[in-house]
Amino acid sequence: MELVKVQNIVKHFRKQKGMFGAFETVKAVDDVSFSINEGETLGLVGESGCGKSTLGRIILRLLNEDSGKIFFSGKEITSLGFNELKPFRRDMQIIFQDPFASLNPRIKIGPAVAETLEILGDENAAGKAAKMLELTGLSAAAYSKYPHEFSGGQRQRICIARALISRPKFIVCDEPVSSLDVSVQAQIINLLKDLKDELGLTYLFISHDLRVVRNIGDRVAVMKDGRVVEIADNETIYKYPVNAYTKELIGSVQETGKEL
Amino acid sequence: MTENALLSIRGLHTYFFPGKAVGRAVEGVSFDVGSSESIGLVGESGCGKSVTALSILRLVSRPGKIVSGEIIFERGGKKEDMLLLSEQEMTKVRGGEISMIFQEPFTSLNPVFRVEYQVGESAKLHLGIKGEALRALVMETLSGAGIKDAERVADSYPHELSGGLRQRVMIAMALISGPKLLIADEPTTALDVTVQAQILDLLADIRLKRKLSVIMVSHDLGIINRICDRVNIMYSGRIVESSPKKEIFSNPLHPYTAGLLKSIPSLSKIEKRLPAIPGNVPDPFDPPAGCRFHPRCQKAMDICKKTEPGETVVDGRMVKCWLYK
Repeated sequence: MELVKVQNIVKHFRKQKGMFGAFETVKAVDDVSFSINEGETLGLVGESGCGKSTLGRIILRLLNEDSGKIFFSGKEITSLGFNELKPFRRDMQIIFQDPFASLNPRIKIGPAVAETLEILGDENAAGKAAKMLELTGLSAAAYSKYPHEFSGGQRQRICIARALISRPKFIVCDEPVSSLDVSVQAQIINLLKDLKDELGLTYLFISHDLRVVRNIGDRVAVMKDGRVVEIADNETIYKYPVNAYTKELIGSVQETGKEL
Repeated sequence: MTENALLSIRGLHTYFFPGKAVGRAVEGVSFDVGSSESIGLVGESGCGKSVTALSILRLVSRPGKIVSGEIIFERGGKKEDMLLLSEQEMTKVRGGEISMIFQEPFTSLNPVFRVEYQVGESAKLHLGIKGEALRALVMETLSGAGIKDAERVADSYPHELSGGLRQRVMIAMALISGPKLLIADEPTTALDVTVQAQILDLLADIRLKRKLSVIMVSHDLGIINRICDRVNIMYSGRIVESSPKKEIFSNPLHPYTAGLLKSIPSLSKIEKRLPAIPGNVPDPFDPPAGCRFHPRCQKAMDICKKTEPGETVVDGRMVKCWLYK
């Protein structure tokens, strides 16, 4: 069943060239349509500036689209206002790239994770937050520590706990492992896979790294200059890429197993 | 020390002293770089790979300090310890005989000067040429760095160029005075994959054409595979394994190398679970006792917790691990 459906999404930004220069239009997202089934991971790959993060934010309604429609569990959410969106917010969350920038240095981990539930009016927010921290592989002692006491990988676990605390159905992972060391990156990818199976999640996994998407995506969409140039299931897109750009991307990956 | 080594580092210790704590960023690193050889320095963040690279040019700034060691570099037929050179002599080495390119091409270029001036500066200083000859050399070097419209790029400011072009400008800047050794510190990390592939092709090409020795610092073993002959794996301030590229990828000796290789996702096979290394990279201010890797090592024995392993040579490859004693 379709959980998220994106229809003809367009988002343009106006950008000025220099201080006195003319305005030009940047087509960040240019007529993109796809859908994500329940329990599926859709990998969204592309190079910097291709519009993949913008698209991720538009789907969560963190950014307004210029035109197009977004459906969540069959309901159109593009026309909803701030208050009408609230019940949907619980069901969709985001994990950002930089776990250093996305945690407030002055708020302890426990309250930071519990905050979402408190806003949603849950009385046992603290208890649930502690449980969620354990589920993401942190000790219960983490609850009363500050962000600076954790390494990058641990902070990303905290961010994952915070995204999951409201028991969402859908999560946008925006480059969640790009700022991590390879050995830690593998831990976080495994954690995301485990949580998906355990909690029945659906992911939109945004990344510039094809190797990562290859290992987590059920289907893969390739984006270039605001457009999805190819979308197919994981196996097909890597073995039989059709689009020239997809081929170039795959050919550019530096592998350790490759004989040179 | 090998006889014909261009650069030989012996027992390099670089520490950081912020306040009372001591961060042992580099602790006893030794390796050689032969003439026209390409060496990879690989490791995760905080392992000391960049500090090692900066130490070679004595660019470590306070609170960091090179505490001990030798960096022997062959200059004009003589072998000299760079740690004993005067600051004036070092200026001749930097950019003249040894050049360095950095990760972020945007922050390494000066935004208020045109490319021509910035690329030519080193040649003016080290080779003493100017005027028309200098401009000609700048154009030639820019073209050599794979820039097609060298004239336009030379007259541009850094902000007018794309990330890939900026990195090519950086490479031209590093090569213009004809150095013997190029140190590249994560030169493609900030770039997109397709641009990264182009820059790596360029570096591989230039290396052969100019018979250049290269030290490539990277966290990405895929990049190292593309460029290097020999790979040094660093962990917590030490080189834990040093092997020729072919062997290190097919038969890693150190458990850390093996773990690192396995944890990289691959295009060719999908794993249900990636074999991750548990735990985190050690804090240089508070490293574990014994072998620095033992808390994360699945093959750790009792001795690993107490005593640090020395160097063992196995089939001409160096490894620091009790498994091979």
